[in-house]
Amino acid sequence: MDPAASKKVFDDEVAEMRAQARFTKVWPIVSADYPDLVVEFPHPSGARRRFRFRCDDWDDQAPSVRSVDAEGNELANEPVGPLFMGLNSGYGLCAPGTREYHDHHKENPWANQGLSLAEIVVRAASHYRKSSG
Amino acid sequence: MAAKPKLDPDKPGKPKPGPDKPDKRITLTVSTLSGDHTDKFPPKQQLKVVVEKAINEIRLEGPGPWILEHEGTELSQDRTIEDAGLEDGDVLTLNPQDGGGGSGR
Repeated sequence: MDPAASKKVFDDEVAEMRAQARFTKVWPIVSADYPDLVVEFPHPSGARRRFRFRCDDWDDQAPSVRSVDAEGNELANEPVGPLFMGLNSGYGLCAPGTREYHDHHKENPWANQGLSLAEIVVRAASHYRKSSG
Repeated sequence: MAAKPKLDPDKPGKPKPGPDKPDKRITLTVSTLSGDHTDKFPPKQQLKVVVEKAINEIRLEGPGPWILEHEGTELSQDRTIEDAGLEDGDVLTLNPQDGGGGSGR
């Protein structure tokens, strides 16, 4: 997809997300500078963790979802949890809607998903809740 | 003879909260991908009622089950607001249970 068109779709979806209470008070959007959306999730343990959704070529391609620190550096092999694992393209969340999943599971392509960016963030938050934190 | 308390138009038959009877209802926001719903509830209200009201007001579609969370913790909808430790102004998220993934390889 043309980068300008991709950025437009990204910015429009982020604007819709910002209008929802969950993305201001529960899962705050830390930054949204195309192509990266960074959201902070709470965990039942009380921990909080940031995830970066790299959305280059959105929405022709699923976002790459990685855990990052406060400076934006990727945290290798984190978090530990049922669906966080090593995949073809590196450590990631093995769930439909992530680039890592669709790179690994060619039989279930991204083109068939029809997920919004907000829906992918919600799924990632749900899987993080079930991780070790 | 004591004066009769004014009736609350929002709660027929119940006295309207006044200076000597503060409104102890708790304001909660249920946030979904289809929108938010903010309302006041008595502390002893079960969370399933909060969820049902949000589903009806936002007109959520889908069979569910709906997962209610606060600060990353799933809440049993059989609990009451006060039992769940919720406070005035809290935001809850409501999402359909997703299907998971897993490589299986």
